[in-house]
Amino acid sequence: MAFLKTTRIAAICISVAAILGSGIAAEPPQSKSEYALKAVFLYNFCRFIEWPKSAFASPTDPIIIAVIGEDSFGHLLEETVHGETLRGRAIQIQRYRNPDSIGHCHLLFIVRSETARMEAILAAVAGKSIVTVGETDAFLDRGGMIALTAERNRVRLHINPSLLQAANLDVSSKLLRVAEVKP
Amino acid sequence: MKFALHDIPIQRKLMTIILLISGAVLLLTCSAFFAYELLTFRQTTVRQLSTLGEVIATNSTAALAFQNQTDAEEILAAVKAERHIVAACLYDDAGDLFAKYPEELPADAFPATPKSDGYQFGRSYLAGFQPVVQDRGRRLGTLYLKSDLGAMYERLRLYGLIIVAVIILSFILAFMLSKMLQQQISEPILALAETAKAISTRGDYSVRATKRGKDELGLLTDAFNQMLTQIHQQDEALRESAEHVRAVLNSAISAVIVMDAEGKITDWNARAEKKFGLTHLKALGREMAEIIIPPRHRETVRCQMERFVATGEGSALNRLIEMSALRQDDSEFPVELSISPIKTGEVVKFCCFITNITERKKGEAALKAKQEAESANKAKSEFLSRMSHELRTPLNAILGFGQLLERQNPTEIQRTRVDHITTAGRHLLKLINEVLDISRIESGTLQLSLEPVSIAEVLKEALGLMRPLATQRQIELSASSCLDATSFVLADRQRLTQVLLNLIGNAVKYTPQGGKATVSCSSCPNDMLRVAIHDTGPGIPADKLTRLFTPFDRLGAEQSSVEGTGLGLALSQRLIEAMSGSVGVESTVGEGSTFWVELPCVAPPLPCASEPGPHTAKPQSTSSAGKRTLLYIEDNLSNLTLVREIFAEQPDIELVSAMQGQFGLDLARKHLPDLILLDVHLPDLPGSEVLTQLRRDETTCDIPVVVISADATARQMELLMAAGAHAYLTKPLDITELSQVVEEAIFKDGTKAKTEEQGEHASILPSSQAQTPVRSKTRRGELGPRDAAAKS
Repeated sequence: MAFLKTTRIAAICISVAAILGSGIAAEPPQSKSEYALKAVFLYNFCRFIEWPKSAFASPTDPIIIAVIGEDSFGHLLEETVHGETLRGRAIQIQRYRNPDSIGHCHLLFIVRSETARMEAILAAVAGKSIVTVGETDAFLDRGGMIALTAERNRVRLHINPSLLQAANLDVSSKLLRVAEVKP
Repeated sequence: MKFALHDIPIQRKLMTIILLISGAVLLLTCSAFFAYELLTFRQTTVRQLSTLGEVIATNSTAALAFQNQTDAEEILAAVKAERHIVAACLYDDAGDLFAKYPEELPADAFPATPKSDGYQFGRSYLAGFQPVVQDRGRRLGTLYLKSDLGAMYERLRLYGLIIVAVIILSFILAFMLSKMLQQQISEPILALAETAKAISTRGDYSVRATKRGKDELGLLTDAFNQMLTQIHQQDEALRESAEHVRAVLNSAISAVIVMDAEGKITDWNARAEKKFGLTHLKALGREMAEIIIPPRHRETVRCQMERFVATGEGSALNRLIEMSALRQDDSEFPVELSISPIKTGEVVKFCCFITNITERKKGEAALKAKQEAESANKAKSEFLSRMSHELRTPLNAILGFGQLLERQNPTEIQRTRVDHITTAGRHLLKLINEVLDISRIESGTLQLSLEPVSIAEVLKEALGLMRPLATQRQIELSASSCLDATSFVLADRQRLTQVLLNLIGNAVKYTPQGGKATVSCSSCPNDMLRVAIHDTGPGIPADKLTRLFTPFDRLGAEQSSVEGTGLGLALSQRLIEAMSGSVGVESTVGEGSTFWVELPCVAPPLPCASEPGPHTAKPQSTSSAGKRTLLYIEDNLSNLTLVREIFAEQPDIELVSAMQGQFGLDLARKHLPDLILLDVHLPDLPGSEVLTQLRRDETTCDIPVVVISADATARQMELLMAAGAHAYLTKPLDITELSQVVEEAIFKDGTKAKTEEQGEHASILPSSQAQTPVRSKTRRGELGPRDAAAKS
């Protein structure tokens, strides 16, 4: 069931991409299709990154994907991870309003709107094994780990592996292959 | 295949078998190898391809997960190193083509959507789909790989070529090896076959096959040779047996013909060749019935044989059949033929034995003629015997009454006339007796009692009887020598006397007055004694000598004055021959004749004690002192009258007569006569029965019975003497003899001692044949010699 759903979502994404690719939409990417792709990417990060055991209270502890700021996912994120498990762990979505409310999570997506509070957010997760994902090119310069930038009809990956390593996170080399790596 | 192999030569057969086997083995091995290779190759190819696919799929997970087409295409391009991969592509999780290799290939060269996972072999490629999964999680997409199999097929083609080459080479090798090795087996067999062929062609069983080794073929050769030896031996035995059978067949007196079931001749022996004038070679294969059976019998013979073959029965088979057979010149001759079926296994043949019975037929005809003649002769003899007997009865009256007349003091003229009657009667009687004797001899009923007889005594008796006649005719009768008492011959005494009387009588009668007749005896080499009577008569011409012993042939003497029956010599010869002796004559015309008799010598008998008195005198108490009673039982009136008249002259004898047996018996019991005269042929009882009854009755058992009968056979006499007769007299009666017998019987108490001696003579006469001479002795000396009629 979950698989079917994923397939449907993927099909939507692909069709959107195909429309974009045909050059019909020269305007800024529709947030919905862009975010659908980003939701899948977030989920896929969980596949290619391994957290230390200390990040989980128990072997069945869910992987928690958290979003901070006013996001444009709507229900897309929930739909993407619904029913999925990775290495025996379920995936949960959490949303935070401000840096103070950031709790226990494993991946934190920082919405573009939170650029101003970036330092505070990053400071809040510093020292924890939390993958930080941003939306701007400058995110890595500001101390983020992975940036997802929308470039015409595509979403590009930028990654800073040293920060991930520093956060005691194991990144698959395959992920590094498909991303632009910042030293 | 099996039938094709049957008829080809053994060499090719062996080679074919070897090549077929090696070919089959090679083909199977190579096919298995090829199949295994193909299977392994395919599995390996699939495994290699899926391994490659695994690598690509693993590498391309991130590219798919993060939609990085460039990266995916780079990853796919890495298969460039694998030359056989002609196409590869990735589909995303929605099934859309995401990346392809080689890039220049248009999208429609790939499957539009992924199909089920796994690899499939196409015509010249292997292609299939593989899932792209990261960490056993959600399927990220599908990998499609297409591998060209040209290389694989190239390699298999090479294998095929190698296999073909190996098979061809192996075949050549197998062919060469089999060609060499098959000789090991085929050569001895072929040699054996060649030998067998040579033997069967030439029929020479002495040839032997050469043995080449000790294997089964060597054993076969040995067995073959052994078989040849056995066949050779059996052949020899068979040939010998066949020759033996043929020799036996050919030595048969019968013609032996063997036929098959259709009647065709298969064997034809030497006698058949001779009998039917057809050689063995010409007869074989022809139908027996056609050759030797006359046309009128052919169908019968054929039918019989056909019927036997069909039903196993045949009435004319296994029997002797007399029929006519046909020679080659169409002449027929009588044969005795038998056809016997012979069965050897399932084959039926017929064996035909044919004997020529021409001679036998002739013999049978001759035998029949002889039997008829003999039976006619016997009838004649019986007729003569009966006639003689019947003639005696009237003669009895003639001679009896003649004698009575002589006794009644006739005048001189009467005496002469009576003399004529009695002489003629006696001559007739002699004639009848001799005829009777001849017929008895010829019919084989003559009975002789052979005993040692002193020749001297017999001659003396005969000479004594002949002397009066010799004196009357002035013939000098003498016995020259050897009349010694030790010469005995085996003979019937009375018959011998009769013969000697006949011969001496002839000598006296046929010798002119003043001549000589000499009797001499001599021993012959073969233990015979010869008595010869020599006379100085006219002699007998040589041409008549052979007829001398023929009955009734008097050699012309019928015209002479010498009387005779013409039977004397014939009878003498037969009598002497019946006594195992012989009679002969030597004669010179003008000088005289010598008749001789030869008889077998025997040792003299042991001297007997003096004969006991013939009678133990018993007092005749019943008879009166003076008169004696005589009972005569006789049915013939003339005989009765004669006897009555004979005894009428004697006053001391009273004759009582009965004409029937029973009445005679009654009279005998009533009168108890001193003597009974008994005729044998009586109307009511036979004489023998009367005699038996008389002897059985106590009152009459001592009365002497004298049998008087015309039946002069010795058997009859013996029978009655044994039954208790006192004497046996034959008709015609000699009155003197009768008187003597009667007197002797009645007055045996000694009152008439003089006649007793004479009576004894008569009473011991055992046979009628001897009557004549004995009677003549007792009565009248000249009667015997005169009666002993002979030839002139």
